[in-house]
Formats: sequence, structure tokens, C-alpha cells
Amino acid sequence: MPDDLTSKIPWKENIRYIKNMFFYIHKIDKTYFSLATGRLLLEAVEAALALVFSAEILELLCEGAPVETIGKPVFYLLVCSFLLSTASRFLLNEFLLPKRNHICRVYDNDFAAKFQQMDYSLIESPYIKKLTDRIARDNNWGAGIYNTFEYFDPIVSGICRLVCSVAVAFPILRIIAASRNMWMYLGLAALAVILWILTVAAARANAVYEETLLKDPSETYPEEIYRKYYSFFWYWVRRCMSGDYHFIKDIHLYDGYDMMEHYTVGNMRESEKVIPRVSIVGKLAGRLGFLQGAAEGLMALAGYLICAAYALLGAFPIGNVIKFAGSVTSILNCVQGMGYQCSGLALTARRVASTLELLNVSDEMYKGKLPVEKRLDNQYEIEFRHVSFRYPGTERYALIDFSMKLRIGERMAIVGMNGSGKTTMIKLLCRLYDPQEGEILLNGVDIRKFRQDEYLQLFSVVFQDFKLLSMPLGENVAASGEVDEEKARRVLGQAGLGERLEKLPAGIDTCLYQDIADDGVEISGGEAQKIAIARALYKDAPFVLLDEPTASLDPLSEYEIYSGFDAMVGDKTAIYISHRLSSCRFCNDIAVFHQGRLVQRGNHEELLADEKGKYYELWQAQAQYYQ
Amino acid sequence: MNMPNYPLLSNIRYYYRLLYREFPRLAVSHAITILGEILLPFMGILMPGIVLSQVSSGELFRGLALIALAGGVMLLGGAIVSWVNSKTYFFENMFRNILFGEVVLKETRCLYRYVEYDEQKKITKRAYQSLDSGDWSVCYRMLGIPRELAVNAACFFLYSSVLGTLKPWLVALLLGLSLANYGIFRMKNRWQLAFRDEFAQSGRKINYLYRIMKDTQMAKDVRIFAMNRWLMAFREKVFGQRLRLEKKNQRRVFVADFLQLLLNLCRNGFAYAYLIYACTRGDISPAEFLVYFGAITGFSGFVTGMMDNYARLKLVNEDASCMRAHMELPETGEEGEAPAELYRTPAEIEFRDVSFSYEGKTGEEHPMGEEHPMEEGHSMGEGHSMVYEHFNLRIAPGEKVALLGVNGAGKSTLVKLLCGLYEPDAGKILINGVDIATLPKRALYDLFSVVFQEATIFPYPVGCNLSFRKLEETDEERAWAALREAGLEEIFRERGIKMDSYMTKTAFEDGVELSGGQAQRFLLARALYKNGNILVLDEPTSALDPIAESEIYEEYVKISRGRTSLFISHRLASTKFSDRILFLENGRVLEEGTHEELMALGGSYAHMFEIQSRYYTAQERDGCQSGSNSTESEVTQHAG
Repeated sequence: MPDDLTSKIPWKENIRYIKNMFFYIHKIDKTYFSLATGRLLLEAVEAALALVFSAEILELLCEGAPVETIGKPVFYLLVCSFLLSTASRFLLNEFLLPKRNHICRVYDNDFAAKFQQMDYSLIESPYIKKLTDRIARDNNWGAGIYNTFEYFDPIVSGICRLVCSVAVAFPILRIIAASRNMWMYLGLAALAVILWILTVAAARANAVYEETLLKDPSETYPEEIYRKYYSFFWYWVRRCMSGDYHFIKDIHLYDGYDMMEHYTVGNMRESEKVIPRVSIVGKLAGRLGFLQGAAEGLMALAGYLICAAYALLGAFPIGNVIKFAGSVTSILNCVQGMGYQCSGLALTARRVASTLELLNVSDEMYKGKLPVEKRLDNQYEIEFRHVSFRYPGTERYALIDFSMKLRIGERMAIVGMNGSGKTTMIKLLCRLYDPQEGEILLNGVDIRKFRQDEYLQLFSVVFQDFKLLSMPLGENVAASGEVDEEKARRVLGQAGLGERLEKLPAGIDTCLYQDIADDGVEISGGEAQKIAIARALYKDAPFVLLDEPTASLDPLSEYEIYSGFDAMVGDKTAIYISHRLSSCRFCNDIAVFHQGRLVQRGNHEELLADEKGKYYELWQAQAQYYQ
Repeated sequence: MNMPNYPLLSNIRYYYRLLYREFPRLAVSHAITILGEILLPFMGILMPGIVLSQVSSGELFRGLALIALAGGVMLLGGAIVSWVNSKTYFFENMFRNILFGEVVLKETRCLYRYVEYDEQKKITKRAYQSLDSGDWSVCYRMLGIPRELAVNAACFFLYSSVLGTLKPWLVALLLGLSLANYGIFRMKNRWQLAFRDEFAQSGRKINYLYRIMKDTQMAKDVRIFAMNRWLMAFREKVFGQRLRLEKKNQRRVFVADFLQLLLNLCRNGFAYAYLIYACTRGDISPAEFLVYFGAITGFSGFVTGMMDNYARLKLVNEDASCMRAHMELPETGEEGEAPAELYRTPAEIEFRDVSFSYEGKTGEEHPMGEEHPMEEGHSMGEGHSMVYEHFNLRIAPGEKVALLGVNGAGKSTLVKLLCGLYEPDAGKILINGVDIATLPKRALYDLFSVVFQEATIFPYPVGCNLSFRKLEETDEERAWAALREAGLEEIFRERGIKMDSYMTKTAFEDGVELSGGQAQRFLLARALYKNGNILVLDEPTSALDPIAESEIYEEYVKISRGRTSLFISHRLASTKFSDRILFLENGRVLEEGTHEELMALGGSYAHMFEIQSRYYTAQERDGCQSGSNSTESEVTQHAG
């Protein structure tokens, strides 16, 4: 993880961050930086030419030259600035703006997409969580890759303008150097000192300001104060914006209006009195603003004064005074601004570094290269051998010394209370996690040795919290952009959606939900389940698993779905998870989980015979209502 | 639908009043900024003129002193304006946060029907969105653009008077050119507007893509079904479309910009021609030439700025109106007397001829952006929007009623109607003979202890979560008593959880997390703390395993003693404890009676029971009584 934003780091580190950021952008778009530089060069040349030609006009005016003579520089000025600014505008509109937005989009999305690409076990790991928190903090206050452009432009344009301004101001610089006027040297030295002081002061003010702004409030204030005045308003804003308003019912019925006010706006106002963060940051920003404003004014003033003095002393024609003043000010500005811009760029790079680190997180699981044998007879055998597992960042074992064999072609049910390790076992089976101890074997070979993608081909799972996307129905079923329509129709029919499919406006191409298409159809929870089941059937994998996708349905519907599903899967191995024993009654093989262990296994009669067993207890809890 | 529309000036006043009420000192800052932004650029135009005239006057010290003076004023002014501006920004940012918070608070306070009604939801949603985009948020713009407009107008008059002293027709001519410039500007906007829908659509896709990519709930599906390639292909498509769209749009912008550059060329050409002519004739000095030239080039900027800012204001006004309309929604805290008989315990409830439909309130069950696949809901397009028609129901004082029905039978709607969260389209709901429509909502809400299906544990301290008051106003003893009764005290003491321990890990790493069963008990404790006259349980246990569920129901039964209670469930667990069972289907009570009566009836309830019990009863051979007894003792052990 990159160092904290506010800590000092060696400049080498800074350069490394900047380099990484530029390489990343370059990878997305190879031509952006060269085009941007070209445009800034055009702009600098235009500004310099404008200075030169307008000075010539003014000089001719002061000399009282005839109109025709003055007309020539006017013509050049107008034509040059028109052509150059047209060209630069063209580059900006045609290439640079779309490219910039594209780069930002890719950057944002790369960050999000990483969560679908990294090892599943990493997502919830403490390291990634910490990194994600850090990214959120780094992106606060309008950071992000876009700032690169905001700093890159002034830096490059500063360099271009510096070169042009020096070229324009060359005569007066030579005059000053050759003047041997003590007063002028002293004045310049004084100016340099004042400017230097202002620059240092501004840099320091900037450092303090940014440190205060970016520092995590939890680090700045004593813990009890921070906790006391913590405001949850963003949390609620996010929830409300996502359309989740269920909590509001509780507030109404339990009269929680004052409590809500207290923990949102109330605390925000209150904390500003106790720890006036906004006032402090505002004050620091104000100080920085004052110093920057003063420096800018001073440079303009110095440019005018120096040039006016020389003009008054007769060093050059008065027509040139504006030109020289302009270019001297521009030189001072470029030099003074460069430091500020560079530190801004460095900070941007540091704030981007955490995201880039996430993008470069490599998978932690060992992934073998062994191909999975494709067997038409689906003769696969899976065995858990002394498997122990706990979730990353937790102490408690979710599975302890767990051993089990999955029999082929059979229906198996896994029952147990919430938190007994049922879902964990599925996750291990699908290699979403690797166990800390023990091994899982496929036909006698450790599953880690297989190619991950081929191994996953073996499983179809309908999870409890399955997700469908707001995309065409067919693509959802195929989980891919390429849909075998025939097959998709067939599995939808099997899942009991044939009739509904007939009624859909665009058939299998109808978009689900209305997140991205207004003509998408809203589907009920039951229909979503059926689509999820169709997706599992479409995949045609030798192992099919149902992980309580029906938990909030009534038992009747659940039973219907489970037994209906059983008829659909044919000769495949199917595993059903439920905490309702009734749903699994068609299974001959029932495994009872309790506190991370397999405690019982057998058919219903065998299990029920053991009156001290967990199964009996679970069974009684439900059966009591029917007695 | 009709979007709210307040007059522009009234909205500007509204936002500024809110801001100055929060931060009165900002009024001074704004005055300084406006003054500075008018005068400083003007000084910038005068400066070259001053320098040139002083240089041509030839007096070394007086000239330099004057230049230093003018430059010094600019220096100081610039520094002050920059100081004030940087500072103000943070206060306005905090103002936005406060406003954001107030919008949330308003949503929690306004009548619940506005929270779920489609029409209002659109307005509220827009209010949220308009506040969300940082420096583009509605309050920044509503506060900032009027100031810019004021600066532009003032500068316009200032420059007009300067140029007017030279030649009045010059102002008229420049005004004409500026109007042409503004015409191009408008044209550009119109061109861009033509793409607005395309941009919105593509933005929607991009946001959706981001959302699903970041959705870790989907991460398992993505891996099992190897969906990454599909997602990335979708991304390529969406991003490609967007890039092409942006290019198309930028080309139009370029054409407009090019025309503006051309117009500028004409204007500058004219300015040079005329001013040089005047200068060579001796009407103006070279120094004046510089000032006038600056004024002419600045002039059209102010005219365009004025018009543009006005147009932008009109646009923002829509957002601003939405936010204000949201902020002015009627609240639940209306005053009013509640008759004493309302509080008679146990309470009697009656639904008299109640009708309720989702007609014209679409999106209630399927609100936008929130699609919980498991949620009880109607399938749109199948159109059973009428939930209740002439519905009658009487619940005697102290009666325990179980409401049963399959998903989508309208059970939750009934609860919302009873609590007053929804209002019936026709008919009356009476509690102790009092029509609840006549009651102030707060008095009505006060009657109930409800545990909703989607009840929320707030990320606040334990005490607040029980009392729904600030921590200081929480009765700690009562809170512990409620926890004790709900069977949580021991666990809480063991884990060292105190009344001020924050719950959930939303804000603090050490927040208290509860398991499913514990959370249900906690919600029960909340209901106990409130100690309402009527107990309503809206499928609170649907995600629990059977043992936890049966434990929880035991607790519910304990506290329902002496209270009118309503259990809503699609499970049979609740029926065991009820005096009467109502079997609901399509908004009608299909069957009602005790378990025995309904079984004897042999209708839908019996069928449901039959199917569910087949599994259990088929195994009944002997000793089921003793079996159930032993279970209870095991259950109690387990609870510890």
C-alpha cells in the first residue's frame, strides 16, 4: 500500500508514482500526450506572436506611422491568431476531450471490474478492504485520473510559454544584463527574494492545507470526539439514492425523527463547533489563496515597473513596453507556477497509486495447468479430505476437519442451521476459496492442480443471492453475449417460463429490468429464480447445486422448485442446500451440518432414528407445527 | 408528469436564505467577491493604458510611482479576492452536505406515501441526483450563477459607459456582434441538446456497468458462469458507442467554436481598423487605444456571459425546484388531538369496506433501482394492481391473529394500511372505534410495535437502536430490561456490548454485528422497549433456520400476552400461537377460523398444511408428544 498521502516520501518515490500513472494512461491511449503537447505548443506560439505583433502596432501608433504601414502587422496578427487558435481548438475537440473522458471511464471501470477479475477469496480479504478504503479516501475531494490532465497541461504549456517568452523578452533581458545599473540589479535581487519568499510560503501553506484536507479525520481527532460527532449522512444519502427506503418505515413507527437528525445534520453542525474542520481548512485554503494572489499581482507589477523604468530611461521605444512587460511577467509566472503544478501532479500520482496498486493485485490462489478430463459419462468423483477453513480476516473456523465424498449421479441434500457451513462447503467446492488445511480431490487429484476455468466448467450453482443483469433474457440465461437460442428457449421452458417467454415483447432478446433500457421488463422474484435456474441448466455442467435460492419463498413453492428442479437435471449430480427439511425429502442421501462439521449422514429414516442427533432436533422444530 | 416549477427569483432567494441562515458571514464574502470580480479585470484593462501614458509622459519617478500604486492596488485586491474565494468554497461545500442531509431527513419525515409514490419519487430522486455531483450540484450552481450573472451585468454597464464616451454607436454595434455571438452559442447548445437523450442513455449504461462490476454480490455468479468475458465485451461496446457519440458531439462543438472564432476575427479586425483610424486622426492616444481595445474584446464576453448564465439558471431552476418541492412536502408531525379511547388496551381493530390499489401508484412494489429478487412482489404487466376491494376484517381486543398467504397475497400491504403508512382509497380503518384517517400520524404510529420484514438495524449505538432516541434520552434500564426479555442480555454482557457501542460495521471497525437469530431478537427488544398497544410481526423470520424460528416465535408469544397481535407469515409456525387464522388470497380472506376449523373445511389452508405436513406426518408413528417436549428443552438449552 502506498504511504499515507500526508507523509513525506523521497522524490524518487514520487517520480515512480508519476511514471506509473503516465504508463497506465499511455497503455489506454498511445497518442494522448503527444497530441496534447502539440496543442499546447500551438497556444504558446499564438500568445507570443500576439505579443510581438501588437507591440509592433503600438510602436507604429506611437511613432504616428500612416495607416497603411500599421495595417500589415494587424493583418498578420489577426490571421496568425485565427489560424493557430482554430488548429488548437480542432485538436482539443476532435481528439483530446473525447480521449480524456475515455481514459477516465476506463480508469473508473478498471477499478470496478477488478472485483470481478481477482480471486474471489481476495475480495473480502483485509488487505483489499483496507486498500479499497484507502482508494475511497484518495479519491475524495475531486481527485482521480482527470487531475493528471489538469496538471499536465499547465506544466507543458508553462515550458512552451517560457521558451516563447524568453525569445520575445530577449532584448530587454540583454539590456538589463548589459546595463550595469546597480539599482536595477538590487531591485531585481529584491524582487527575486520577495518572490522566493512568497513561493516558499505558498508551498508551505499548500502543504499544510492539503495535509489538513486529506488527513483522515479519525487520525486527527481524539477517538471519543470523533466517534461522538461522526455524521452518518453520506451513508443514508447513498442508501436513499440507491432507492433503499425500507428503513424509513422503522423511523416513522418508532418515532426516530430526532435520532436521525442527531446522527446526520445535527452532528455535522455540532462537530463544526467542537472541531471546526471546515473553518480550519477554509482558513488554510484562504491563506494559500492570498499568497498565490499576491504573488501573481506582484509579478505583473514587477513586469510593468521594470519595463516602464527602462522605457522611461530610453532603453527602447515606448511601443515595446507592453510587449516586454507581458513577456517578463509571463516568464516569472511560468517559473513560479511550475513548482506548484509539479507538486500537484505528484500528489495526483500518489492519489492514483492506490487504485493502480489494486489493479495490479495478482491472484493469490495456486492455479494448476492440468486439464480436466471431459467425460461423457459424467463419472466424476469429489472428495473432501480433512478440510478446515476459516474466512480471511476471521478467527472462527467455518469448516473443521471436514471429510465427505460426493457420490456420482445422486441427489444429495445438505441441511443444517444458519452458519453451520453449508454455503462455505459449496464455496470451497467451486474453488472460490482454498481451504487452509486438508484437500479437495477430483477423481483423486487435488483440485488446485487443475486449470481453474476448466474445473469451474464442472459446476452450475444457483446461489441464495444470485444476480441477474439488466441485459437481454437470452444473454442472462447463457451468461454470455453469444446465445444458443434453441437451447436457451428449451431451458427456459424447462424452468417453467415458457408461457412467460411467449408473452415477452421481444422474446428472448427482451431486456430484463429497466436499469439500462426503458422497454425492459420487470420480473418478479419467482420469475428471477426461474431464470437463474434456467441459467444453471443452460450451462449443462455435471454438478448442479442449489443453495437455498428460495429461502424467502413459502415452503410449498420451495418444495415445488426443488422437486421440479430435480426432474430437470436428469442424470447429473445434484446437491440441494436448505434449512427446511421438507424441501429435501426426495433425497436418499442427506448430510447434516452443524458448526462446521458433518455430523450425520444417511437417509431420512436412519437420521430420524437417532433421537439425540441434530437432524432429529431440526426435524422436530418444524414438525411440531403439524402435530 | 408535472415537474414542480418555482419562479427563478424566488428560488434564488430561497437558496441564499438557507445559506445565510447557516453561515451569515458568507454575505460579506460574497460582496467582496462580486466587487473584486467586477473591478479587477477592469483594472487589468486600464493598467497597460496607465503604463503607456506614464511612459510617454516621460517623468521617471512620478510615472513609476503611479504605476506602482495602480499595480499595488491590483495586487492587494487580487490577493484579497483569491483569499475570500478559496475560503468560501469550503463553507459552501459544507452547506451542500447539510442540504444533502436535510433532504434525507425530509424523506424520513414526510408522509410515507411520498416515499413510495412513483410521481414524488421521481422528484425526490432528481433532488438527490442534483445534489450529488460535487461542484455541479444544484446548490453550487444556484448560488454561483446568480453571482456570475451580477458580475456580468455590472461589467456590461461599466464597459458600455466607457465605450459610450468614445462613440455611442460603438456600443450598439458591439451589442449586435455580441448578439450574433450569443446566437452561435445558442446554436451550439441546441446541437448538443439533440444528443442529450443519447448521452443520458449511454451514461445510464456506463453507470450500470460500473455498479454491476463493483457489485460483489454478483462475484460468485461471475466466476462460476465465467461471465467476465461477457461483461468486458459489453463494456467495449458501451465505451465504443460513447466515444463515437462524444466525437460526433465535439465535431458540432468545433463547428460552432469555429464560427465564433470567425466572428471574433471580424470584431477584432473592426476594432483595430476603427481604433487605429481614430488614433492616427489624434482622437485618442495610444494609451487610450490600449484601454478601448481591451474594453471591446471584453465586452462581448460579458454579453454572452449574461445571456448564457441566465439560460443556465433557467435550467438549474428545474433541479432547484425539484429539491425545493421535496423540502416542502407535508410532514407527519401534524398537530391534532387524539381521542382518549384510542389508547384503550387491548385495542380493537376493524377494516371497514377498505379498498386499495396500486393504480396510479406504480412502482411501489418495484421501486426503481431496487430489485430484490426475493422480495414479495407483483410482476408488472400482469396487472393485478387492485390489492383490496371492499375488504372487511375485525380483530377483537386482545386477539392474536395469524395472516397467512402465499407470496404476493397482499399481506404486507395490509400492515402498511393498518399502521397508516398507506392510506386506503376507500373505506375506513378503525382502531378502538376511531377512524385512523382522522388521527395525526404520530399518534397513530405511537400505537404499534412493529417488526417489519426488512427491519433495519441502524449504524447507531445499541441504546439508540432500541429507543430510537438520542443516547442521552434513552432509558438505559428499560433498554436492558427489553434485551433481557428478548433473551439477549447475557450475550451482550458477555461480549462486553454497552449501550453506547455502535452497531454494524458501517462506520467503525469494532461495530457490533449480530447473527440472523440475534438480530431478530434484537428487533423484538426494540418492539418491547416501545411497548406499543398493538403488536405486528411482518414475516420477521423468513430467513431463519427452523430452530431459530421456533425460538423466536416462543418469544413473540410471550410478549403478545394482553396485546392485540397480528402475525404475518407464509409459514405455519405462526398459526400455532394464534386465536384465529386468516388465509389471504388476492386481497380477500379466503378462509378464516382456528386451525381445527380450517382443517375441517378442507380448503386452501388445509391443502397448504397437507402438503407441508406430509413429510412430517408420514413419519409419525409413535411418541410425538414426548418428542415435541424434548425438543423444547433442547431448544431452551440451545438458546443459551
